[in-house]
Amino acid sequence: MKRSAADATLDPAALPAAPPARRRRAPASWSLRIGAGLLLFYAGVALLSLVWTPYDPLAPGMGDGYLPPSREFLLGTDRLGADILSRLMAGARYDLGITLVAVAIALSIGSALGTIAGYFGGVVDTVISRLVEVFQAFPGLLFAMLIVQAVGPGVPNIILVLSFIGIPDYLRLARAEIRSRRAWPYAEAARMVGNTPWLVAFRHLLPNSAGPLLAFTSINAAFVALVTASLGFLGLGLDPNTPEWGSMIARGQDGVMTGEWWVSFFPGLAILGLTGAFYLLGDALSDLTDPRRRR
Amino acid sequence: MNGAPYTVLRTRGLAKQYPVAGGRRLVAVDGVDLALDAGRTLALVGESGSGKSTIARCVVRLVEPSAGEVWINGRAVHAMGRGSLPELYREAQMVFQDPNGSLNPRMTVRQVLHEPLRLHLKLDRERREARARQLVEQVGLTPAHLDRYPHELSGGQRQRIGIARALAVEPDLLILDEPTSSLDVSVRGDILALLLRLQREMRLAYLFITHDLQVVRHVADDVAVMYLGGIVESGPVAEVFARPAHPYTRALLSAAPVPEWGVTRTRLRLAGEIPSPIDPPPGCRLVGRCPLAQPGCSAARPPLVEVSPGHLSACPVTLTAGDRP
Repeated sequence: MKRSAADATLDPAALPAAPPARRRRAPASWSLRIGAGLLLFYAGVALLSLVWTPYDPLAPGMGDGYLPPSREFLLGTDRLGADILSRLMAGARYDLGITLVAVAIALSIGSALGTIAGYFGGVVDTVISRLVEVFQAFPGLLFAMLIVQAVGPGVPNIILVLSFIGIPDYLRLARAEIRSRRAWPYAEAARMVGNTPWLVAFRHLLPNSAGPLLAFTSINAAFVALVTASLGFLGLGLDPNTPEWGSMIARGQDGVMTGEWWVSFFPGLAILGLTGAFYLLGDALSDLTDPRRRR
Repeated sequence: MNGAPYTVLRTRGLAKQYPVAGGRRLVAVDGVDLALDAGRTLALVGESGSGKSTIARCVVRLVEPSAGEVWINGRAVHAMGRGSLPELYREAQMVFQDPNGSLNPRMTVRQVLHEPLRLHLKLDRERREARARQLVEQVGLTPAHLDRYPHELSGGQRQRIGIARALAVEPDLLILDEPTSSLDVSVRGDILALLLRLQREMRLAYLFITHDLQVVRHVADDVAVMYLGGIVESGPVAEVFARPAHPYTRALLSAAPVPEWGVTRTRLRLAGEIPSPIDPPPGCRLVGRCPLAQPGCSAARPPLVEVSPGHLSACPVTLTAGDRP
């Protein structure tokens, strides 16, 4: 018989395996806690705004124009008398939603293309990489403005534009990660146990690059949130009455000089909080996933 | 099961060159002929950079050979399409040097062992699990290890998993790429004993790549000594070690420590360092380092010549001088 049953008496030295060592979890850093907590808060507000806001965020004339913060209007009203708190709450849906969806699309497409370019190399890699360099020659915001002007307004268009300008960064990062791993013995071992090159790239190498990619995603989301607000501020892509934070700042900018600071201040604070949350989370994720930064 | 010799692996003129800057070429492997029978062990020895690992990778097409033929179980490996390589990997498997790097850090031992059973053998979950349990026990571990991640195992245990993974498809040929060199000395012996037992049980053919002469003496039937991409001497281990014919082999053997008190030997010393494999000159590669070199040595590459039955050496000087010890 070719295969004999395992010899149970063999090699007791190997048997006393280490006691089931649980993976030691790194203590959550303060940046992780604050970042994740803030994001959860924003997500909660966005969801709450679907069912309840103090006033109708879209309707003007809830009170007089430029009412300062008070018991009745906690964060005041804008020039048209709309309640700023209600608009801020509804705005979370736009700023957080657009950012998350755009980043998710850019991450998926960018890392898929980057994985292909990085693992297969050759002509595919050259073509993909050169194309990416062309697009990267334009600054992100400028490029976004140009395309939004070209494709026309609407939330789906903004999402597409933002994900499009994000793809190159994800692609380059994924490509570099995969390239550095493709010669690892476990990539060779994966080939020998029957994986096709595609399976090696996407099932073995890409998951092992997830840490750096996710850390970058979070930091990139901060940038995307800023671009979203910038487009709104410039009045590109969305109806000016949309309670998007950037447009709200734009609506309040006349008041800043005459003392009605709250109209622009609170949406600005909301943007600062959101970008800060993404940045802190990304920083914490880099610390967790990059062994060189792990203490 | 019959014991008739059956050639599992044969290479003919295997070569691998890499283009380097300036239109030059790095010759990693230069015309290597090997033959390995079922149930036997052929050791490839040489310094780092001698091309041992490149040969291992060329044999299973992890690296594409530049020229030459590879036959495994009568199958022309060099002519296979890339898409049909999985067929080859059901017969020839590899154990890697670094058990850390060759195990995916995100996969449990169970996932590692299930993968070849699922992809190569198309077993259902139940039969995969039964076979995985059998495999871990075969390599001296327990089913409790199936739930571990590689970082929860010791180096020796990881290498056992690497061996179990290679055995999953019941291959005929196992390529062992320095399987013990990254392990603690204390567990090397265990792993070698395991490999010898598995070979006996399954009549595996081993292509054993190593730079450790003690290991060769311990596990191999035949040995091929490599220097700068070419074989300089080959033959049965006992014969080559007792009567080394090539100056390089003699230098290698006389440089190894002797585990006996009071034994002294005359050492054959080579001058200088191993030269660059980029654009090597014609003639014997050892010219310039060899104390026995003759003017004719740099004219053409000396061929392997039989010095005794099965024992080949690529040095005409020692052959004619008749100074074999």
